[in-house]
Amino acid sequence: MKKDILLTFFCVISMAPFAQQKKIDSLIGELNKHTQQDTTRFFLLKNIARAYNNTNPQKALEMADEAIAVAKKINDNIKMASALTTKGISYHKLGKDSLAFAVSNQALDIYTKAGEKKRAADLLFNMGYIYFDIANYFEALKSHEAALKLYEQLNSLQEQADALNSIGNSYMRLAAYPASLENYFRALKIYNQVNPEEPNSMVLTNIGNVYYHLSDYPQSLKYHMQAINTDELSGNQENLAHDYDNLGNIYDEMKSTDKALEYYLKALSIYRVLDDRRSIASTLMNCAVIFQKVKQYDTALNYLQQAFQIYESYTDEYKMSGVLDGIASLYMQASNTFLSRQHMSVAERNAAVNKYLEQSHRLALKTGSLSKQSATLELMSSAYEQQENFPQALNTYKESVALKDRVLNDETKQTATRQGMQYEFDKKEALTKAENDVKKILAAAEINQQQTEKNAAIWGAVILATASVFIFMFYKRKRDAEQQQIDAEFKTEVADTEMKALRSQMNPHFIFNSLNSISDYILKNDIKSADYYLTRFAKVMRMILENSDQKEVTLTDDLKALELYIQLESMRMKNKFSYEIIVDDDINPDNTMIPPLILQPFVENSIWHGIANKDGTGKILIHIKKEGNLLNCVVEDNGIGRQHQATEEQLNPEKKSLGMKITKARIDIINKVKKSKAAIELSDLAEGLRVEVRLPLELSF
Amino acid sequence: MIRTIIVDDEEHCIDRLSCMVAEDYSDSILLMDTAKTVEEGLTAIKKLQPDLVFLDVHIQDKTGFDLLNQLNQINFSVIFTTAYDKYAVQAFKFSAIDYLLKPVDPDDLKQAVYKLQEKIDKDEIARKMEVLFYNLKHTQNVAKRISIPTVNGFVFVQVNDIIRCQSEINYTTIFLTDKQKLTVAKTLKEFEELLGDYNFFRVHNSHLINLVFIKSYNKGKGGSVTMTDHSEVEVSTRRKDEFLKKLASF
Repeated sequence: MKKDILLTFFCVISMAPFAQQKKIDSLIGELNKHTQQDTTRFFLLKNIARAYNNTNPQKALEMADEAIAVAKKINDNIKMASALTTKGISYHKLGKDSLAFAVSNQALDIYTKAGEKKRAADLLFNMGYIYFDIANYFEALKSHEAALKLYEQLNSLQEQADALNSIGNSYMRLAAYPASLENYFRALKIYNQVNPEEPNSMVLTNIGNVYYHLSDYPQSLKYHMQAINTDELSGNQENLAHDYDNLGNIYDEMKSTDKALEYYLKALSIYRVLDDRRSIASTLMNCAVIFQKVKQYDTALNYLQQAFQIYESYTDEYKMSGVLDGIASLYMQASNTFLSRQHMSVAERNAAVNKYLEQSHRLALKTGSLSKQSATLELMSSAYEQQENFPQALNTYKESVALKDRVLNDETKQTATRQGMQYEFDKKEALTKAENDVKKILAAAEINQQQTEKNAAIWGAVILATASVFIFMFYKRKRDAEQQQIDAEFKTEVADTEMKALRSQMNPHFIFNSLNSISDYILKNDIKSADYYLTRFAKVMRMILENSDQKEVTLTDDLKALELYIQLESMRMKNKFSYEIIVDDDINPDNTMIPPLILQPFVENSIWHGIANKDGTGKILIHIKKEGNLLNCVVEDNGIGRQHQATEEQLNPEKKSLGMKITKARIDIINKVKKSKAAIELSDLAEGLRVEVRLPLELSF
Repeated sequence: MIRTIIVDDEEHCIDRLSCMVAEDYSDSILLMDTAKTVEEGLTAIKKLQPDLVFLDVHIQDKTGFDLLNQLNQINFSVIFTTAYDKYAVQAFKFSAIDYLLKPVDPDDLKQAVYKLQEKIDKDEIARKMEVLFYNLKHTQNVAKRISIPTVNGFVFVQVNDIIRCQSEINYTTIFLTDKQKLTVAKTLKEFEELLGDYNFFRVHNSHLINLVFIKSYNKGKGGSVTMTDHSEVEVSTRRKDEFLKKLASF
């Protein structure tokens, strides 16, 4: 049999009904006298509505509506919102919760817009309470958390603690116990801050309940005891009774039946004084369980019957079914002496058990609670077993298990949501913790700082003098270094610009030389081959323009352009020479960078000065090889060589190659920027000329 | 016979191309008409339904793209012709659309005509054109698309869906955001040239990465970068400085 755990709330205790009616009558009298639609009438209407909310919610609704109308007429939004709030409570009492939330939200909207934080927070708090009441714990959490935030802004401690307690309650219902405890403790801390003399028993009780659920009975006992102390001091009988009841539960779990019974009976006597019939019934059931355990079947039966009567008066089917189960199991378990005292044969006993259980099952079906139905069916199955009606026992057992599976499925879902909630909570918690840590660190840092400051004041003066000398030196050195850096950057930039200028000079040089060739070609050849020559030329031109845009190009690209150029010249000279381009195997032409068109002037020179003037065919060899960290580009021809060229140049000094001059200048700049030892070296061969251009080996990757 | 029209606003260009076609391709290309304006071109295309159009990029104050835009359906091959237009050439390369640079080199023409004789999928033409127009519309934007030739035909990929490219000798593997991999018979260098202006950087001889998808840079001699797909790419020592500079300005 499951026991009830009561969650305690901070809520308004309502007046006894008859006193309320008296108050309403006098207020209605006032209302009838005061017919003018003004503030006075508004307050009368609202107060009547509030009073009716406890006795006649339908009437309360009418009054609230009229109050709203008055508020509208006098154009007072805040009053309107307060009337809407009252109307929300009326709807809730009538069980029309979605309407209740609709009007409450309207009111909330008004308060929020008007910046009425306190009223908004109170409203949210009450909305959360209603959500809790209808078992919508997620929304309850949301509302209470929103209320908490506002209370924090308003700095009202008592309300913050109340909100935290309510949040704890929702987590508790969702079985998110750590989150629940956390909030209760926060609430407890604030309550103690507000009223250090008298600890808040409500939250102590709740904490005790969480530990109960976590099966940590000693802890649970500790907190319940604290709650009892407070309640005994303050004389809050109702709370005290709850505490005793809870204590009974704990002792029962701890298997000390005597103590359990003692506290249950204490609770029962208080409940009887308070005439709290529901609590009486629930405690009677708890007592019955104990009596049955100690085999006092007569007393147990008596208590169960009393409880049944009370629940019957409330038509609480769930509980009634529970009591019937209790009675049935009592009969099933009871000894023969008990049966004989009841003048019952075994057959009569069996009939009675079946009757109770069937009745219980009918009630359980009405409640729609699967777990209740499953529990009753399980009991029925064991009853059938006892009566040796095995097929029936099996059937009911199967039914019970099927239901239990469905319940478990639901529970799994609940567990998932619960875990989700716990996760959310942990996340929030981690954030707060991180924030707190930062605050702590900052605080510690500040304390440190203050100490350090004192010391620093003394040492600082000494150190400052020494430091300033060093700093000045350091600064000077750094400034010099920076200046050097700036100078270097400037130089690089100048070099880049010069380089670009030189590269662009290469273009016209190349274009006009080529145009010359074309014109020559056209004069000497047919139109068709002239056209072919021209299109080739266009292609070379395009490539060279693209390459000369760049500081460096890959060896592959440059050699491709160079080869096209050589083909062009070879065509023009009617294949007077052949050529060969060799790149050594230890060079990856795709990964090696060279300045564009650096070799072209030398090749041009070889063709037009070396080979053109030679009798017979010539050959040009271009060989790229690696020499340490240099790239050696060799252009070799078997032409007429330098001596003859020299004479030609003397004859025609204009012809001195512009391309060569530009290339030399480019290499000088490369050396300056890269601090390298690039160089051009010319050497005479037995037949022809060798030019070696050594460049710093630049790899792209 | 490939039924062909030439659209170019300059008479000498038309004459030259006509001559080349008449001399070398009289048995495979049938030149049906030439046009000197966009309007003339449109009329000719609609009337004659050609298989191929040689289309100049700049036609007076309009472009060849304008002409194509005015057609509901492009069911013929197009070979663009242009003298010097870096921007257009880039667009063609992105879309894998054929183009000839003027003056037209006979070898280039030969190759273009040879390609035409392969079986041409009309659908593919349309899709390539779509990519071309998309890219022309989205200039200077990383949302550009690129046509990538694979073993099973062309794949059309958004540039900002490419996380990185890796070279495998003469092939390049492209890693996409949807975890797909494409292997293409093109060198990494070609992709570097194509994508260099779109936040791509060659960090290594065999790696070209999209800077957008860098998750972190791990220090080291050259260091390495971790991409958003959790792949780790080595940065070559020589590229480190330039890479960090590029990353800083990115």
